[in-house]
Amino acid sequence: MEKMIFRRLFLGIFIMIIASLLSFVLLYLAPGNPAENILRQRTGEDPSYEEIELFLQQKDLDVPLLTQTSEWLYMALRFDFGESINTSEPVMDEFITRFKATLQLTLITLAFSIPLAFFIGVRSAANNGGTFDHVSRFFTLLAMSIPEFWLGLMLMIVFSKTLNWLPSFGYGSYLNLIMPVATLVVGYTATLSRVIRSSMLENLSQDFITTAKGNGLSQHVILIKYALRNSLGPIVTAIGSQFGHLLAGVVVVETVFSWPGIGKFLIDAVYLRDFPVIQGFVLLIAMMFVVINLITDILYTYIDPRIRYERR
Amino acid sequence: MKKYTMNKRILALAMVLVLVMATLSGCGLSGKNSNESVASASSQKILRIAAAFDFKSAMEGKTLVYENLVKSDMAGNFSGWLAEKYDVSDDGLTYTFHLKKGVKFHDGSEFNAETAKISLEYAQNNDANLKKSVNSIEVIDESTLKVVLGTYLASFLNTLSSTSAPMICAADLEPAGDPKGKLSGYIGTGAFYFDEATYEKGVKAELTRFDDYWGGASKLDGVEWLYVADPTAMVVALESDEVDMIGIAEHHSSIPYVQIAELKSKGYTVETDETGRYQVIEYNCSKAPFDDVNVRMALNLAVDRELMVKTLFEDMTKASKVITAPWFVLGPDKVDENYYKFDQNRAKKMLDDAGWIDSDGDGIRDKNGEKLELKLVVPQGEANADTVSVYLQSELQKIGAKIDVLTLESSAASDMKKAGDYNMYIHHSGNMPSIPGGIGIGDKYYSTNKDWAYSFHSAELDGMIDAAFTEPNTDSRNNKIDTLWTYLHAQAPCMPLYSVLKLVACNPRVTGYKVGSNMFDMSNVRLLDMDMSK
Repeated sequence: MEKMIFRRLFLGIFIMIIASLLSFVLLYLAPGNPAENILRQRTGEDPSYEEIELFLQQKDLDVPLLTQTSEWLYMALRFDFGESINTSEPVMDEFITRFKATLQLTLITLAFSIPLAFFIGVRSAANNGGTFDHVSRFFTLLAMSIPEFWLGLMLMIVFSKTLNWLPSFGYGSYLNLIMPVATLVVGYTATLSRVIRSSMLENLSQDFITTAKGNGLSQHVILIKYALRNSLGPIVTAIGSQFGHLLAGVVVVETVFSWPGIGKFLIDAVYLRDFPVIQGFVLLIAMMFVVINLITDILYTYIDPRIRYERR
Repeated sequence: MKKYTMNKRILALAMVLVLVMATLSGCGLSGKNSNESVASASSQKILRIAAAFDFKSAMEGKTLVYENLVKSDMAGNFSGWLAEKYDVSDDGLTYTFHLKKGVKFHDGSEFNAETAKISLEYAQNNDANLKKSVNSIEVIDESTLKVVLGTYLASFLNTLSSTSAPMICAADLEPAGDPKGKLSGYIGTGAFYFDEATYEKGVKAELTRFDDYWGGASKLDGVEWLYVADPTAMVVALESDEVDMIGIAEHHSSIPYVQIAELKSKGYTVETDETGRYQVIEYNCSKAPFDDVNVRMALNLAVDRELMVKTLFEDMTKASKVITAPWFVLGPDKVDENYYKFDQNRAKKMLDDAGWIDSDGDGIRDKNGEKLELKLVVPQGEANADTVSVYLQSELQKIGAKIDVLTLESSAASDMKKAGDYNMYIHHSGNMPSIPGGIGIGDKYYSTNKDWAYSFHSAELDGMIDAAFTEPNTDSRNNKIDTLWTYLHAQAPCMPLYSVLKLVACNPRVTGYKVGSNMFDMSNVRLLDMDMSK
């Protein structure tokens, strides 16, 4: 187990650096440069060549690509990702401030969507072909099909504009959380509950379930102790993946509700070609994915002893 | 066994609750709504402004805190601001500024010639034009400053009145007093001061009334800058009384034009102000068909702008009849406003005369085997450009021109423009009142401009621009500029479309709104009042 952890962490470092460098090189080769984009955003006008040159000079961006890359790598090894070209703030500070907001949204969304998805998925599988199954399948499909921006705006129009119950934007209060979380919970619960249902159905058709039934075990025990336990592999993978995606930022929800997370900030940085932010954020997001995948793999060994034996 | 299972369930539930609570408390959440502090403080006149950008990222916000030596009105007439008055030498190279006395910075220190010098030196280090043109900055006495230019710079006062040249406090620089340092503390002379402690990145910033403001303290107690990213959410925030004002903090209108009528009908005040910024279609004049002035002119005549404004914008704004706002001080006020009057028959005749005829009867004109098929590049985010493009497609089809609309991310579009890979390019003109429409030295129609290398250029035009913008005598310069505009309109370098509006909406409790001197300027917020009984 320890060997596996070290091996994965070691590989993870390479993945993080490659992801970060790749995003930098691709954007460097893409049209546009940070000076032009940032100056245009600030002034609303096309900057002159002299203004662009002065900006590049001031921000040390007039050096060759290789020099920039090697300097960045040297700094990144010390966990220093430099300053944002746009805000002139340290990239790490920008990340930490926004990551707090993203983490809140992620954990609370998952805290609601996981139990809800388990309830819907397990009950739907147990009631395969029944009324609950049909109704839940209809609604989960509907929930998966609703675009987040539409749902967010609808919630805002109903609960902020019409009823005046909830704030339409902002950060820092429980009330600010309700609509962004609700918007996310709908989609994530639907996706996860369908994974749980299909995984459960696959296991419920296995021979060991028939044996358990033959032995006279109760429906509850068969569902929870036998079927669900054996279905956990793909479910944990799905949760891990959702966790990672939420942590990487939910741009649409962050934009609609002005939530100060990392997603919207990163997308803006891409438009502005704010290279230090893009590189730093991609590296840190890749690091989160590596850690989450590692935790998922470790959980596998506890959920399914066969995987542990195979690795041994 | 049952008890064990129950314990596990309770444990799982407890873990979920702990997770939620830890997240909420660990990240500093409270039960108080972040917008509530203002909503509940009814006795205080705090103006809540929704802004599409974070306070520190938006140049508009800086106009609440910093002020300049001079100020320009919307048309481009300059007057003293922190400089009570200024003198310009006959050759236009020496400017003497006589500074206001009794002006204080937010930290209590005095504004004087020494701090003005540091401010201009800081601006010089950060502005390409000033860096190139300013020779020396000299303190004559405590309230007199002399600036000597090496070369005449027609836009000098314009730059001094912009956010490129704010009057800053020496202590605001890091290291203190070093003009090459970093501006850090937002210590200006404006009617409101910014307290860093109230700033929440990507959330809000609070500004408080500066009681020692030289022009008299504002009637407002403060301003709250609230970040609202989405335009629809901004309108909802106004209607649900979470903010008092929207649209003022963006130079590009953040309020959808279609919302104006509805907001007005609900009793909100909606101000629609022209700032002289026009949306235009720029032609690639370096290759066919737009290397022929007749084709350019034909297209300019073929579009019914009045109908476009009525259909797309419900007559909220005005159709552009000339290249840039004629009411600018240096604008084309002598050009006949019927120069590009809608006349599709005349447009068709001009295309016929230019050799573009529909030889195969497919509805699209052709010449020497080439179809009149034109690539219109639309940078993503250009306001209203999607609907305008579709309208143009339909109008130009009537005269036998086919328009292929290509919408691209703004950087990709800009690169296509620089490479000349376009026939038509939609954009908005600049908003420098003193030198509008890209006609200054080095601007869009000047041949050295690399950004617009494929726009209309000619040696004749360069000569006219040089002559006009190196002429320090006002009357003589105005005459030369009038000649220049007449020549440029005859060349039809672009298709003017409509005037881009600055839209500001506020709830009825806000009174006294007056648009600033340009679409960035928010300094007039100090003149607002609020009737808290409403």
